[in-house]
Amino acid sequence: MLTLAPEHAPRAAVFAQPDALGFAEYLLHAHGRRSIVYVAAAEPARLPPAFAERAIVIGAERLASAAPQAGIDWSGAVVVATLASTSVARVATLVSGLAAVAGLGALIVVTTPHRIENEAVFRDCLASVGLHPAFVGRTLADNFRRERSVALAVVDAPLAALLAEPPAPPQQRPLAVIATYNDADVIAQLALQHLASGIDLHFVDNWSADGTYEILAELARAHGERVALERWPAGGPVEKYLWTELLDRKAEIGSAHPGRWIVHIDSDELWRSPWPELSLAEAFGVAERYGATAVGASMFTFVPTRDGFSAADEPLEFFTHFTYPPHDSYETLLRAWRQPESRIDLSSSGGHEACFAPRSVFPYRFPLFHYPFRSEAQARRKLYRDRLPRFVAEECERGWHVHFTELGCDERFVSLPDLLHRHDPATFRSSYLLEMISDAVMRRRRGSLLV
Amino acid sequence: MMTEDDRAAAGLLEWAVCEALLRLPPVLPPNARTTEIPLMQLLVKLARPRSYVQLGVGEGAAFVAVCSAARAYQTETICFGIDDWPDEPETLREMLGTCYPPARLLRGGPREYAAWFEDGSVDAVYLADAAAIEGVGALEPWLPKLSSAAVVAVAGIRGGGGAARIWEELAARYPVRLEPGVAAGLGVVVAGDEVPSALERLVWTCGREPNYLALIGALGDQAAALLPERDHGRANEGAARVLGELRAHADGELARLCERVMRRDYGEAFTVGAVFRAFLRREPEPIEAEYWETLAAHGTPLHELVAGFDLLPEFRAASDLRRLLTFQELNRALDAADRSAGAAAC
Repeated sequence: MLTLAPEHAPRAAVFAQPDALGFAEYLLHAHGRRSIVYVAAAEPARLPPAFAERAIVIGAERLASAAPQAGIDWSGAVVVATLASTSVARVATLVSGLAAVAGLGALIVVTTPHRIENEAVFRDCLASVGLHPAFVGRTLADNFRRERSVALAVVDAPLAALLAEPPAPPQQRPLAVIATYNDADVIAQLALQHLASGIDLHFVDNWSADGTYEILAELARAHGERVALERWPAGGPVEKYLWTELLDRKAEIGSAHPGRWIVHIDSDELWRSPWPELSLAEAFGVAERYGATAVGASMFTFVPTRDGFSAADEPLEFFTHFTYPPHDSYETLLRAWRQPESRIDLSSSGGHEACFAPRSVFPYRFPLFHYPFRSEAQARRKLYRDRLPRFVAEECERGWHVHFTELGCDERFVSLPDLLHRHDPATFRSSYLLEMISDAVMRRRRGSLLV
Repeated sequence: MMTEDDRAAAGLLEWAVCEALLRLPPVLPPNARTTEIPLMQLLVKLARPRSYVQLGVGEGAAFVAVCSAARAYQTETICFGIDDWPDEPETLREMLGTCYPPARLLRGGPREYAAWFEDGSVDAVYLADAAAIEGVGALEPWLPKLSSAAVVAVAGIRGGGGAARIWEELAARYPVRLEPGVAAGLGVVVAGDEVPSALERLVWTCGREPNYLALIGALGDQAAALLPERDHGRANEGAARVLGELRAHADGELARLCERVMRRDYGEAFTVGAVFRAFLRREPEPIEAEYWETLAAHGTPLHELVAGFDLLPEFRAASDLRRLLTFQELNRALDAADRSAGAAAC
């Protein structure tokens, strides 16, 4: 929070493409780079002062004419540019400059200045000069009106090269370790989605009493070695929801599979590939070949806009609207890892982060769809019977389970669609690109939309 | 004729309205005016403004409440509070820094800062204190800044003076408005023609059902009286006593309300009875949904059902206050409806 006297106030409260600027800072840290270079299309660049102070601001002509001699370590730089100019010739100059610094190792975030109807055209345009984006999508045009209208591309040459290869999952199929407790309405549908995307499943059922175990047993029979099932704790049902111990059990299961990708998934979650043309397993294959040993996720929580979800419904079709995570604690969801020789630590962070060393985190997050409350009846059973009375007091005191404990007795779980974001399966990955692959939501929550 | 979908949508709107009106901001500056808070929370929830400018902030109760609502409802609103504070508002700044970073306090007059914003860019303007910020002319430079989804709220429209004159001008310019009976007066005009549909439906509903506006106004008055007491209670260990009184009071109001609701049918949609039912549906169902249905089918009095919900004591404190506010107001509204029906019969 700043308090600004008029004489010190910036000239305008409006600035362009706020998430693109924040994304450059995200990449700076995620890739361990050293500088941000902002290529200004017009002088003076209208940037938030704090960003301008941290970035090297140069003109398009300088980028094109003197890239190698500019005194900038391009292999340690994140370059942000907008293809804005009054002439085609100047745009061409800028694009050729970007191609030059990409060749020198720069990581590039490039946007269009105005609305673009078809971002595939933008992709093709960049590709024609040798800039092959790893991601193309849309971002906010400005910090006030926030139309998702301008196109944004991420040019990460090594990643683009991997994506150009034929899709291939890791040598061993990734294994999801999933704890379940009374999830009969949704567990089969989400399990089948994961199986179809090339993920094997190991279920740890916490002695469900609603038929979940029986559904899983049937699933295991149908899918053979791809689905494992155990009841936990082995001694029988317990009164409390032993989350710490459950996380330790998950880590233990993972430790039996050195070299394999392990994904810690909750029973109401669906991990997805960030690239529509790749399965989830193939996406882990890309991350692995990129050199990563851990992958994080961005969570999108789906909220029912009508009541009555049942086991006969497909979550991806029934739930049409989502919201962002309610708490900052969801900023880190580093829950997929390539299993090292020894057991990793999952429980210290309450399951939010797989801790092990050395660890190389894939710089782009995968989307994680979350379906915690699916109908009024299921939500009330889950909240008031299966969770709140069963939480361990010490875990609550550590701030865990806050997404449940902050809900009151007067909650309703079906919402007006107007209060949520609409999920369009065909355009989601493009429209919410930065929310998906980076920490854009949390940055906005911390004030990135303000000068 | 209402379809099943219409009824479901009406129920969701009722819930959205009730929840926002009955919500208590987690923190507020002490000894602050709080009358307008319920309606401002509701506006944030339904209008989901991308940007909010408050002219006149003072100690900041309404500003903090709006910021808290923006956080709770994940509207990603950027909030600007403009006031000519004699000194740096450090305490308020610290509070906002914790509860809502996407907020800025701008020290100076509203005219000075109007140029800071682009035309057509601001979704919500709240003129909180016309007297303190240059009188009638305070809003004028902001009108071009309003977006096509804009709403404008004005406090103190019944107090005469500058705010009342501004309201007259706004009401003449923008015919779509809400004017609940909040003490000292809070008026809202819909200035844009592309406001979110939830807000459109609220305006439409209020136009059809005056009880909605009465409910909003009464809740504002109640919040003004009770919020400072709540915060005082927190600080002085008086909370238990205050909440105990609230609980007893709420139970009395509920008993009275249950009795009359059992006696008569208040119709299908958009009536106080429907609001009441929406509120009752928000109470926790005892473990199994079927339990509620079974008891209801056997005609068990509503107050016994609600008493039966007392299964989770740790979650009751906040709802006690909410219940009191709702039950009191519903009784008041029904009293008025009865009086009006009696007068018509005569």
